[in-house]
Amino acid sequence: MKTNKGSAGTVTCELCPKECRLAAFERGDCGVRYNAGGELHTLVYGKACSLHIDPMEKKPMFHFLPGTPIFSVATAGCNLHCKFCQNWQISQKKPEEIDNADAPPQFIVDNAISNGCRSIAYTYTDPTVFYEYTYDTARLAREAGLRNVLVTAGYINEKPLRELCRFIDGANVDLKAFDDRFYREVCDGSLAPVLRALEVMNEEKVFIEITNLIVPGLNDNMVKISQMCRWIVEKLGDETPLHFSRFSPQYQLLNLPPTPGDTLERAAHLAKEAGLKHVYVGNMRLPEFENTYCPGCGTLLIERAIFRIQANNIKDGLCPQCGRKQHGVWK
Amino acid sequence: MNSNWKTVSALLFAVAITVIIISDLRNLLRGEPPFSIPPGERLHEVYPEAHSFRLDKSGSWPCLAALDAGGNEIGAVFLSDHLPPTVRGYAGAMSLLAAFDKNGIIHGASVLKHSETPAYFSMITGAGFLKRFNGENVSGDFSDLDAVSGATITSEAIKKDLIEGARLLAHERYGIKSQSTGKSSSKEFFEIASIALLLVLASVAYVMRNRRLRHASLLASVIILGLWLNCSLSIQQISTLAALSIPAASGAMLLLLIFALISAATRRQIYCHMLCPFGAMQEFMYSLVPYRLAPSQKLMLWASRIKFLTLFAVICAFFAFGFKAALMTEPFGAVFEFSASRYSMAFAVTLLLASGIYKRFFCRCLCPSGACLHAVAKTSAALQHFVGKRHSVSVGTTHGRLLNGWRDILFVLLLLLALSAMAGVGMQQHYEIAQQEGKTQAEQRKFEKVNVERIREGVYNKKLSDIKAKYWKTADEDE
Repeated sequence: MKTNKGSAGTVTCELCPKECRLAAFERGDCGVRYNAGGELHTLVYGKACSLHIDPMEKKPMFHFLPGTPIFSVATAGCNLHCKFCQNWQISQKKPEEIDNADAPPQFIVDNAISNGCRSIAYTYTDPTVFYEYTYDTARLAREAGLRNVLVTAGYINEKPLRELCRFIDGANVDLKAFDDRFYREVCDGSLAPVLRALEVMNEEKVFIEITNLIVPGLNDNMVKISQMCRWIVEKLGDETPLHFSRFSPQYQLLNLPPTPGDTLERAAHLAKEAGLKHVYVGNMRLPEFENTYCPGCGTLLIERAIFRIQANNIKDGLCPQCGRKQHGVWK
Repeated sequence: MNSNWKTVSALLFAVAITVIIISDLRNLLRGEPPFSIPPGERLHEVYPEAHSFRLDKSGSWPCLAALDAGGNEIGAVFLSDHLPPTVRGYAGAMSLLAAFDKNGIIHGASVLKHSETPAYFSMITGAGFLKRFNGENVSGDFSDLDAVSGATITSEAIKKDLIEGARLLAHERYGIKSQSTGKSSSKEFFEIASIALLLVLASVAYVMRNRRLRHASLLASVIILGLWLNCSLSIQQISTLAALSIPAASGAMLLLLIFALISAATRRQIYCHMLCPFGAMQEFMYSLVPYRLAPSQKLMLWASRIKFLTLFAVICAFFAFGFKAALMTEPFGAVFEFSASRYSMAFAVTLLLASGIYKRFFCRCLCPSGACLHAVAKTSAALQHFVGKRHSVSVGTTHGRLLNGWRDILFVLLLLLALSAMAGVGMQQHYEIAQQEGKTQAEQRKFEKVNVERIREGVYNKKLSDIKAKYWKTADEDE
């Protein structure tokens, strides 16, 4: 984005790789950060548009405090503009176009505690755009003994991510496709920063689970999917949980059909072949890919029915049969 | 002039009654406040060992189940509002938060809301009264837990009502059986008996018109109502009654209040003349000081009408505008309660000094409770007039000039000083209440404003924030 002579008062936002250069009073691509006459300000600090208590399995986080409720926070705006966005009513809107509730960080923490939640999720839209809000709430939550979970697309610069990860315990990152062209054409982003963000999170010891939404015709190339799985095995570990999500027509891709079950099954099998131990399918009931099995002896560890836990046999983070340590945050 | 005052006072009376009725109707129509969960910090304060809390509305009364790190219930936290009986302090109902575990051991108690005078209440917290509950078993015997001296009524109320409520919940949730509180009720019986005897003495003294008996009654009341129980009649209780709620759980206090009101309705001011401890103190001062200030008759008459104006101001301030501090402008507590605020003490001393040269200065010119009892008597007289019974009207003279010399001017200055001191006390109490409540109110506002349940009902606004962001730099000159 070129500006005319760098007039006094132009700022460059360095939060995400887009690095918008803003003239006075201009807003970034995300719609919630703006140049307040020489200083960058955020319009959504403490202004949540969504507050809800969700089951942990909805994020989806299957290996992180399973069966517990998680207090979810979101504000308006997003720095990506995926054509298939499932939350477009709040992510692709400016904050003044929707209703916001006053929810300062301490309020979030207090509410989470008194509603019996042990963790807070920064989700629905993308915590990247409400970075300062996430940072402050996460810090207070840490002090109060709560866990923090990010549900993000990972399209964020390394430095802010590293600083935030100090307080983050778990993250669900949306790896939309292993194809930079898909990122550019469909999501208005790019792939490399997301991969870099995943590596950074791994270095910072954040518990990662990956989601991949398969849009028929756009990112259902099985070759790319297995490349993605091999990358995950190599860089993040073969026990990283991977969730394949079924696409349902939304926002700007109402012309496409929902993902066929066949595609999801094939993708899941490919992922298993590539070496990933925990592969799940979401938004669609495939019993084989809903439960958690021990990678060592194959015992059923956790039995799930959509968002409900039917049985949890993990004791102290170990398999009850073979005693193998299970990858996850269980307490 | 007399008839002017009659119309004015009738008008003020009508307005005051209307204000009270409107305020009562508003409270009645508002109904039960929605169930609100106290802020998380307060929950952890009373139950530090718990990891998290879960709202449980399934039992007879709602409570918060305290959970450990594994999600198992280890105890319960409850708000005294939701359990019978209501905890009533000296000035009215209070809201307490308390927690006990599965074995009935109390882990903590704290007061969330109260209407007491700030100084009075800090006596209770300062003595660590609430901390003495920690570690005791709910089903145990609390008779050896002494009330805070000087704040007997409120501390006894907390002890009795809180424990009763806790026992109900403990029995329902964890099946803990408790023995009856035989001992504490005997203490209460003793209190009521003493008050009853005192009332009998006062009535006898009134009927017999015996000066010695009157002095004895006043002395006895200074000891019993003032020093021992610290429960003289005050506008606080009368207002709580007018707000259609029971003033105090203490039977002794209730007995006193009913007696005073009934005797006023029968146009016999037994309380003011025979029982009020502060009145007794004023008379004592008067007997000590040799000098007598004698203002003109007309001035004395008008001065005695000022108390109706102060009563009107207090009623409007409390019922129309919700200023709790208006009820705390009387000096009764300050004299017998040695930890009252400096301002209340100074006010009480000023009044006592003034009363040294003008008999019962506060009673005749300023006391809102006295004005209330007088108003009750006058209303009763007016009603009797309507049914034809004759009554005697006592008036001062209305002839002559109002200000007749330096004595009158001195008296007026004294009145002005006392009035401004009273207003000052009211403002100072208001400030202190605001300070004490400030923190809890800010928390409550945060909570009441947006609760997760209410968000779903759609309590939103479109305001945006404007906070400085991180991770940006001022752009360089363009390439």
